[in-house]
Amino acid sequence: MKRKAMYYRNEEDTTLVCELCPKYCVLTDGALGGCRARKNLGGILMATNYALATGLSLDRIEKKPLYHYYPGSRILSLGPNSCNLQCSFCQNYQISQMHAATQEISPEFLRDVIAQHCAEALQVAFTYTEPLTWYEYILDFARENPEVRIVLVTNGYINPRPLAELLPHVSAMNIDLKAMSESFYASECRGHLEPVLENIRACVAAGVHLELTFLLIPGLNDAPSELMAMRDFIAELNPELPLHVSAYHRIIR
Amino acid sequence: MIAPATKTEHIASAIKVFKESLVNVYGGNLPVSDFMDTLCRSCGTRLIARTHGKTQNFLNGEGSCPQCGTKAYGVYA
Ligand code: SF4
Ligand SMILES: [Zn+2]
Repeated sequence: MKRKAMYYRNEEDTTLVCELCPKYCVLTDGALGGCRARKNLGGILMATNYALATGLSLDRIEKKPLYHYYPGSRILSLGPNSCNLQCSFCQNYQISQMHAATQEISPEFLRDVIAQHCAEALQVAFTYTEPLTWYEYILDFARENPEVRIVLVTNGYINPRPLAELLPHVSAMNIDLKAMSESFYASECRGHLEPVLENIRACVAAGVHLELTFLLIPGLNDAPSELMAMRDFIAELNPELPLHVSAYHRIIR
Repeated sequence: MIAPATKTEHIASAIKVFKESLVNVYGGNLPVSDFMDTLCRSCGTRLIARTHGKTQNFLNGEGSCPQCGTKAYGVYA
């Protein structure tokens, strides 16, 4: 399936700037974005991984993790072969950072699978890698299927305008807060902290059901001052926001 | 990046710091299921019991504590 990408601008002749996420990739004709999900084809930005999923599985919602959202319910889960951050500690790098086998799951097929396997709770989670790099697919699916609850498990790394367009269609989110220091986001993830904090605030303001995940990496993001900063940031938003403190496992690449 | 794997003790001590101000803090991705239950913020009653394979929900329909009626954060119905 082919779909023109949203959120980009023409720079000069056929050079494009993608405006979906704060990376603002500058793409000459034929170039692929840093997330490997978007490509400049003759001066048009295409969502090249539209509807291409690395896998499809049925999980308990606790595994997302979401603990305060329909506990014990089952949720169909799928994700793209792309991510817009490059975390040195990625726990899923074979499908997020490298080319992996995918299968086409058209929005219509996805709706049928959900109806078949999750009839008691029509809900789907876009997860495993970075669903925000599947922007057009998720938005198209959500618009056509308002009865299905949309869950995103995400790094929260997106620009405000596309987030605002997507949020009214999203029921629940788990956002990764990887650290409270800009230097960690810059050196370990090749991104920035502030957009993530800004987007967490925006999701709370929009009233989406939100939970947060913090992957604790000993010695890298667990200094007492950093933990306290994270605690205070969340408490100021809402002291009841669930926080999942997750253990890092060494990945041998 | 080379970092040692996270031990349960690391998670436990971080959770202690977070719980000074936050109500719903959990440990994940651990061999133990020590940090997975939801307790009532008012009376401490266990509202949701979780293990790695199973979830037991003791909340009333709309998501309130069966003992004291305090509403739990979240969406339940
Ligand atoms: S979404 Fe992808 S192509 Fe667009 S700016 Fe972000 S990393 Fe670059
Ligand atoms: Zn109670």
